[in-house]
Amino acid sequence: MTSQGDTPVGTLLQPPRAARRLRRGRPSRWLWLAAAAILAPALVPFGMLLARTLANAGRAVGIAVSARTLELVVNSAILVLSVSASAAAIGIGAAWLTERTDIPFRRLWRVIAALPLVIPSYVIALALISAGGASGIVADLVGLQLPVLRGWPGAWVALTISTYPFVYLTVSVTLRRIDPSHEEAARGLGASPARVFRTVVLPQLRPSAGAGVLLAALYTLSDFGAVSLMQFDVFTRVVYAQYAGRLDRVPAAVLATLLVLFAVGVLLVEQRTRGRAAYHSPTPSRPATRAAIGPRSTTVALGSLGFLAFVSLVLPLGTLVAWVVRGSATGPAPTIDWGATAGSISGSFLAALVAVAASIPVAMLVTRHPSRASAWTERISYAVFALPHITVALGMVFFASRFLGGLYQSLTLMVLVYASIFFAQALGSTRAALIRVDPSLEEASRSLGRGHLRTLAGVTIPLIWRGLLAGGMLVFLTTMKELPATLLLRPTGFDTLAVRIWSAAGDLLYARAAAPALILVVVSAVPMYLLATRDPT
Amino acid sequence: MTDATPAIRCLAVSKQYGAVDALRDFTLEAPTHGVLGLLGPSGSGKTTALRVIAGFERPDSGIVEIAGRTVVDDRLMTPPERRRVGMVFQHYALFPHLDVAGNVGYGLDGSEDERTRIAEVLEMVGLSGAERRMPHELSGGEQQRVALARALAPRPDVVLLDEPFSNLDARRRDAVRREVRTILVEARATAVFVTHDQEEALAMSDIVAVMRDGTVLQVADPAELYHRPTDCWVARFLGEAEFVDGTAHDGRVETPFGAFPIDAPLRGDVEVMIRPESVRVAPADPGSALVVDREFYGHDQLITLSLDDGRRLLSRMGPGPVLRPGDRVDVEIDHVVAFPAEHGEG
Repeated sequence: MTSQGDTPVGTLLQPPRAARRLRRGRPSRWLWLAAAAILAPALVPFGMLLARTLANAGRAVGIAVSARTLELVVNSAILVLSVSASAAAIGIGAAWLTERTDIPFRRLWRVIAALPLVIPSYVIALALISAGGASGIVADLVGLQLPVLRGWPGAWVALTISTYPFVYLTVSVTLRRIDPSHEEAARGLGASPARVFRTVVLPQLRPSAGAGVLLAALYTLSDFGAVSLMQFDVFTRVVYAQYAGRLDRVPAAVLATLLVLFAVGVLLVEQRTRGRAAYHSPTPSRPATRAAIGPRSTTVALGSLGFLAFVSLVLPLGTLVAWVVRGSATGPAPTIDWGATAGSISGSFLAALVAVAASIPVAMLVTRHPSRASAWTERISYAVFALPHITVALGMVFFASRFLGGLYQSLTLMVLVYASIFFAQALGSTRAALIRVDPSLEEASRSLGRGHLRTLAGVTIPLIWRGLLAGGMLVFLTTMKELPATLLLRPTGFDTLAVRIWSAAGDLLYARAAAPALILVVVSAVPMYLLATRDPT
Repeated sequence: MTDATPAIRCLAVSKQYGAVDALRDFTLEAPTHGVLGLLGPSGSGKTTALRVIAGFERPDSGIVEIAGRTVVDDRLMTPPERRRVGMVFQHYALFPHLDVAGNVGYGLDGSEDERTRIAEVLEMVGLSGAERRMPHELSGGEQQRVALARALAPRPDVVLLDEPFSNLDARRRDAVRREVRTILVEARATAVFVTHDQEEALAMSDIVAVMRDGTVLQVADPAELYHRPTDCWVARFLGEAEFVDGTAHDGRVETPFGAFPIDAPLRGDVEVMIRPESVRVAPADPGSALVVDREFYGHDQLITLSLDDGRRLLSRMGPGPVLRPGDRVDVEIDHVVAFPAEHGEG
């Protein structure tokens, strides 16, 4: 793998290679105990789902081979494939335009191309739905009646907008780091620019583009909000409907188990198709030259990026603003929902705190004592993150209602589930920070008379706190947008912005959904901005 | 602890990494109030030995004692923070978030007046008044002295230094080496330092232990080691030498250059080592050798000779007389060392 391990997005899925350091001593038993305690809540849900399914094996087989299930498999596969393809095309194209050409306003385009990450998929879906149609915002403003997107086309467009930034970010980091001498060597051997791109650049992009597309595919499979609003029947939507609509929990458990298997299948396919070449790209001594594209191409490029920005940013945000304005004109002025805002922020804040604290011992184990066991510890954390959140939440509901009566529908359990789902983000960030700390510093502290914990507090944490902060912000950002686990696990009376948006949009009360959606985007933009501008030390 | 108790005692310490023996029956005693140099090529296990003593690695077997206290045996593994060992790391490992005073005072814990002790050790290393400076504002040599001050501040039983001079450029190295030695001697510290540089080991140490493949081959004071290595490998590793075949009997050895007295009670075929500084040449015509090459270093010169029988020989001598390639010379050898012939290697 190349270098995307350094970007927040890259660390999500690709556990960076085991550290090539000399193994330092043996990990203390306490470190292992801590790691086990941290991973248990992440694994229990899957065990629970499997147990439920196996306990009802006869019915499980019946459900698994039904025509309805086949339809879900086909729908999910179509959605994952179509979104992956369009996200890859848009992501790679936009990355090449902003990194390798001399189009005007490159810096601005770079920011704009990554921005849709801030907008949850269901907010984009909400905007797409409420923009078109006879009573849509566009008809209202310009008298033009856009078609209402529903079903597969709607889900496809909404999820493409939500996921292409994954590809865009991983590919543009690689484009910046590819050693230009390869391309120059190819040019020197007589290859045309097009051939150089096809035979030299594209193969080097493959690992990072693959990682980005994998993220897009898994995100699509996990997505609950957009497909629900678009009324497209894929696994997540039906699992939730089965759970919410029936007392019989077996179908939900069986379908969730199938969803997990589907996701594992996606991971395996990606592993199999990964290229075998290793591209080592240390930071090149000089940046690649930018292709000077002609005025006509520049116009086309600016047009494409402009259209992308319009569809992914201007249209969704404009629609939300228009709904708020329209709502205040026709009914009571929309007010800020302080309760739900506080719920979102406090839940996400606690989740970030727990995830970051828990990431420290696991990251210590992984960086300071690399071994097969610690590599598996890391891999499991990433796998939990990669699998659909609704399955984790559902498994936890089963577990808690059976064994933890007091915790069921408590804030504690919800925060715990948030933290397990997004643990990998904190781990990636903490790990990257920790690997930059020379272990001799910790050893120096030890031989100066301070034990493990006092060394952690006196040396390690002061040196990695920026990394901890970055991981915390990432967890905060993704938890803010989280929907299915919140729906399943929230305590009675506890509201978040995501829940408010979802229920209002479900009732077609777009004006009521628009205000919390805007607040969510604004609050999410703060950590995103800090992450993007923080100095890379 | 009396001066007779060794500061460090390692007994049959072994440590494996996978299939690699980092330490094999490593046995060593370091005397109190002295500087012991642990010398060996890279991969010889010297750094592992240091890390075992410091407590960062647990050996597979063996015993380690520090100042008479057992810190490692079959059941016991004292953690580093309770060994009273000061460590100076190869890259110094100064805490980048703490200033000089914060670094030096890190191990003090208020057991005595911290600020007094910090000032005291900083004065010892010649950095009085540097308390508020940050590590990145210091030069390489200054960082090293802060690292040393930090290690000395808690008055450890021993100070361990891992390749302490490898980060300094060649011009500064000799001066810093002298400073460090003076500081260690004045602090009456017991120090063990690891190096792969022969010259450094000989110049810095009271005693040198030569390591190879995880084992100690010879422990001796520098002069003894240089002039009486126990085998050919140690002899070669310590400095330039030429080897010729010889025959030994009755405390003498016959060589192509004549007969010489030897210490070892050897008989029969032997290998004879000749150090360049034991070879003296004087211009002569016709003489017995030809000057082939000359490297002039100012304080001395290294002459490559071709003897009339085709043999090569090196001679190190003072800056005069001036010799040029093509000159004829006479050769005289002061001193040789003989080894049993089967030790021949390389």
